[in-house]
Amino acid sequence: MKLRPSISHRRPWLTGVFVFLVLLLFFLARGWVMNLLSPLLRAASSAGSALTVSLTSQEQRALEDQIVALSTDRADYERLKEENEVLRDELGFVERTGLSSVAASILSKSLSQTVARFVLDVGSDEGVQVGDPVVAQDGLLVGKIIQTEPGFSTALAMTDPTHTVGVSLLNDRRTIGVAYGTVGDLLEIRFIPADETIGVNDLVVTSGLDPTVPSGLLIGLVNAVQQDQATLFLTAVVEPLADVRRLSHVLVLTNTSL
Amino acid sequence: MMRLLLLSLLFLLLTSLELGFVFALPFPIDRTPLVLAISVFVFQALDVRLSAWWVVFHGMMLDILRISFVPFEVVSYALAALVLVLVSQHLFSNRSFWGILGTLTLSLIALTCAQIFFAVVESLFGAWAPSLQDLLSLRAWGWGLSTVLLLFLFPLSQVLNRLRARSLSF
Repeated sequence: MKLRPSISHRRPWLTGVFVFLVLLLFFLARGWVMNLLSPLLRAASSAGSALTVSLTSQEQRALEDQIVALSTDRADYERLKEENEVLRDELGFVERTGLSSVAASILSKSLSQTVARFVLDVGSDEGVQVGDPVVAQDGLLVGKIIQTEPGFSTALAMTDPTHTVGVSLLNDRRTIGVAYGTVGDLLEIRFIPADETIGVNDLVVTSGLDPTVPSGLLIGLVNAVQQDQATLFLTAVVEPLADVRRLSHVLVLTNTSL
Repeated sequence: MMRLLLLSLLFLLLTSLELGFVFALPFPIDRTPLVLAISVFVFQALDVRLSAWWVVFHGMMLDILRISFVPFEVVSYALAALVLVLVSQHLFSNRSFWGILGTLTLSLIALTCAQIFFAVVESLFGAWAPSLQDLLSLRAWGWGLSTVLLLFLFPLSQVLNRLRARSLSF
């Protein structure tokens, strides 16, 4: 049943041109639009993240925090031990690579089986470049920058199906590989030779083989190891330690390609 | 002019609420298409036809932020807005909950079809594409949650329309 008269358009082409111009203006002034929206988005995103954290049970949160703390300690220990043995005469990690960081707030995040991305309130004005790694405050890798604009940037979370990063396992042989994002909240290290010894709960850190991602950033723990009977390669399923859904502040490591 | 300004401010508030707050909530609540659902409600129940443009501008926001899994969201959302306008004028009543829900459903179907089209085109050029099952299950959650939202909003339409009529009579 139609209860409303239809709209009469005397000059539909004029409306079309007007709308096209408005959309063009909106797109060209996107930096200005984002400056306008940033405070709103920041507040809304912080409120959403806080609500998500509060919905997680206290016991689960305490256990997750404990895992992160222990893993960070272990990764630091292993890294320091290795550095101490091999690079005793050289400078520390930050001084050696000239790493600097920019603190950022998450303005928006889209996390699902189809996409895992988030928007930060820092951009090219702050020196953020495509490929820069994003880490949580405690040094866990969260993702990589894929777009920068003045005033904001977009990052791909590690669990996005299109995200890849060079990794190293903290096992006896320091197995290296590439971690792929999967459909879900896990990562996969594929094509590991079958003679490698990988155990559940082995720590996974960045290998430094990506030109923009420094080595030693903590990624997660091996959750399961699967063997492909056809190719004789192993696949390690990794549970990332950083949960973007719970984060509202991160650090972008800049000048990493220096 | 004041009306246009008010609608623009409402759009900024709505899009911020969806991109900032709703997206940060746990699954499946984060899949609620807040802007589309509210635009359909405002267009149908409150007869504010400019609200169809909220849908188009929301697509533009997704393109600017590059936060979606497919490109050209402005085109997909424009198609959804077009379906919203056509369906509400020629197919469904604007006086019943079912009419509004029908409009929302067809707009969501149009949006999904456009997104699938762009995902397929992108995959032809070697890009990763999500599985149809994942995409449809996410959209089903979105449809269910926006239906719940409309269930809460619909009783307000009469009150809002009465308030609007009173403010116009002054």
